[in-house]
Amino acid sequence: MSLGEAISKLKSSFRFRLFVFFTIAILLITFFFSTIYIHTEIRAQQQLVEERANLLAQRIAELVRLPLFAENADGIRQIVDSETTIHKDIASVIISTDDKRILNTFMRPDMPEQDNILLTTVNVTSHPLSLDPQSALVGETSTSSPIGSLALGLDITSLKEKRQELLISASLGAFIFWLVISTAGYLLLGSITKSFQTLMNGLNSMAGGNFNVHIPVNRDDETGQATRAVNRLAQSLYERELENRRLQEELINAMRLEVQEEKKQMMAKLIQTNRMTFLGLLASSMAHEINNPNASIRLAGLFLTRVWGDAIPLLQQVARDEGDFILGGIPFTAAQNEILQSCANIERSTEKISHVVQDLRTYSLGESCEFMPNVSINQVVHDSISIIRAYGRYPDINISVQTADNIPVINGNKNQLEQVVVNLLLNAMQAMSENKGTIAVRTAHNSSANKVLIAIRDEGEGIPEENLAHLTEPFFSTRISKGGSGLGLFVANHIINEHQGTLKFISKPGEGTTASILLPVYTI
Amino acid sequence: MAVLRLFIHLIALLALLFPAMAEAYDVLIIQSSRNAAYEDALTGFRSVHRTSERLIVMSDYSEVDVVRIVREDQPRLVLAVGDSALKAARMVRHIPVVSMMALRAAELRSSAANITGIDMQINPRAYLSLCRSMKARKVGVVYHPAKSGAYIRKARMEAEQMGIELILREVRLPKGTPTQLASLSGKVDALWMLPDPFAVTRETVEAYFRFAQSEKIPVISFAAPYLGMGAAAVIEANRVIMGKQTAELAFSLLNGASVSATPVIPPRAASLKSNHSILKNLGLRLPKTDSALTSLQE
Repeated sequence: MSLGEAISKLKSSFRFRLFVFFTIAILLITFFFSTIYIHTEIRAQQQLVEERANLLAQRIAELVRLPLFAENADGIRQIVDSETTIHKDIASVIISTDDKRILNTFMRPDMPEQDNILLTTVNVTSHPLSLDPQSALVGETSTSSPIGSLALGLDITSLKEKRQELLISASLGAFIFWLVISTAGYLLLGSITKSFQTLMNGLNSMAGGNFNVHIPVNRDDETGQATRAVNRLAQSLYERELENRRLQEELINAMRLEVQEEKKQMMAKLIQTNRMTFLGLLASSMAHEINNPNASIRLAGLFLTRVWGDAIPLLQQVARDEGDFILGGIPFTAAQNEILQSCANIERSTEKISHVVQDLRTYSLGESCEFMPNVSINQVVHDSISIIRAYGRYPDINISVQTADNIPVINGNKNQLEQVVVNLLLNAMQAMSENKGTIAVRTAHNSSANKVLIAIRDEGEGIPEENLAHLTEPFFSTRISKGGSGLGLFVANHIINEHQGTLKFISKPGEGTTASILLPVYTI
Repeated sequence: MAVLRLFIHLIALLALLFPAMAEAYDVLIIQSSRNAAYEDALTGFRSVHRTSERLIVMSDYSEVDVVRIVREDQPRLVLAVGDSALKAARMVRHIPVVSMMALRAAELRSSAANITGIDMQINPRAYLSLCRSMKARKVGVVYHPAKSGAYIRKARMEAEQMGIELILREVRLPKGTPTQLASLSGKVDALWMLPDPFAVTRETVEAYFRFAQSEKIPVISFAAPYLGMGAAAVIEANRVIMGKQTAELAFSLLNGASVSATPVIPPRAASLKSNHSILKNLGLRLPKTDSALTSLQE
């Protein structure tokens, strides 16, 4: 650790800062009180000297009162000499009468400098208890009368020396006091902050991520209480960390399971899509395989019809000649119509097969995306129902059709629209409970909006409200497990949007669902 | 209108009449100041005979013109209480001025025949008797010849009769007192302090007691306050009796006695007071009987 780092660490130390603050505070307090002490002592010494000068002056004034009043200069000199001999610090004494005549002047031979002399002047007055005869007789009090004045100069050289000694001793005493108190304060702070330091070490350990620590409590003071609180907090954090770890593991496991489920659903959708593709190819193949025999049957039927047409006159002649005869197990008169009807039935059925095959091919190959201007939605509905009926999987479900007359044509792709209607019908059928009930299909024309309507209403279980908004999203299906791809309504909505129309669902659980297709009327 | 005019005249008459009635008194009392000693003396004065009087306390006024008051009020006698009052009343010449509680009565009598009264100087025999009782044969006295000369002459005669020698020191100025006292050192057995305004002042009174202390002799004084300063004994006049004595003198004058034939007389009664501690320190004892007072009766 470099010196700079050590100083920086020391500066950030709470104990060090506290010690510095304490030391500076003690220093300031010591300085403050030392200054007051020195100032007070100097004032006291000054006052003492002034009082001494005044007392000496008063004393000499008392002694010289009578000689001064009697203007006895010799008597005054004797008194002054006596006093200055006793009190060596008297530098000068000047005594004058009340009318300012100087009767005595004393100056010490070794007169100090003027700065070292404290000059005091007192008035010499009569004794305060003294009374003149008149006052004494009548019991009056009288004030002291002035006799003269006395100026005394006191040598204060020793006072300055005492001041210097005082400054040195007080400064030394203050320094020793500061040193002792600071040392005691350092030791005391070390003892006081010991528990604090322990707490800090524990907190540092916790800051490193180790909450499984227990900081020892040294004292039951504020720091001890704080340590206990930190221990409780650390314990709580440690338990919380354990809980978090457990929850994290559970979350990872749950996410893992969810990914697996999604993967499974995705695979199911892919399989379904693949299956649908395969179904399209199968339908295309079937159409090809069926069309050829169907064409042969149709041609055979047509031929048979022409043959029967040619044979009927001959056979009628035979019947007339020989009487009615049995043909195919029934009398000829009955059989001739039955055969004609059977031929017509063959022709009609083959034509129907041809249409169905053609539709399968068209549906599976998705061909013919062009829009035609004369598409009738009634025709679309009828053709779609035909396909559904040919599908024949829900024989117990009745489809009620109510188409409006004179409904205008639209501009669109008939096959795509049939794909939409078939899809909606299949959804309606799948929603019917127990595969029973009625599906109502209705067309209408809204002249004000100039739109045509195809409405398909079932009596099924209905759609929960939370699912309504997601019906046209891709891969959304409540029947994925039952073979749903989640693409039917997505494709249907796409087709209707391509036709500038709208596809809406109104449903309540238990009350069935109504799917409404609104398409714009074709206008030139 | 006539009734109103009559009423106004009546008021004017009363205004003129009543002051005249108020100023009609016999004795104008001029008192120097409000003081218990003066009050005691006046109490004695009034206890003899009650007469009409007017009292003026000089300390209550910045200036009192006694002559003008006497001219306007026309009293029959002026009673001056204290030296200040006597000084103010000495200008009155046509009626008697009776002095009480004043030191300068005898002195002023010599220049004004209408001034009489009771002196503050007690008969010297009383002091000399006290000295004799203290076994003092040589008694020092400091005095001003003009102020106390007559009294000293009388005292000297009395002393000779009593076998006491008075050691006299004259002073012309108060500042000479300490020196004169110093000259008595070793020559006297007691010191007699006179109510002499030159020999005893506020500045010099201390010298008496310092001298007495250094010589270990008693100081005999004239006023009780000096007992506290160091006097061994004092003989002072009884103020109430002095007031009565003054009243008797004043009424004799009011009754027709001639003021010029009435001299200033000493107090009739006095009392002896002593400082027992000082007497004890000096080894002195005073007789139980009040010989000093007795001597005044003689």
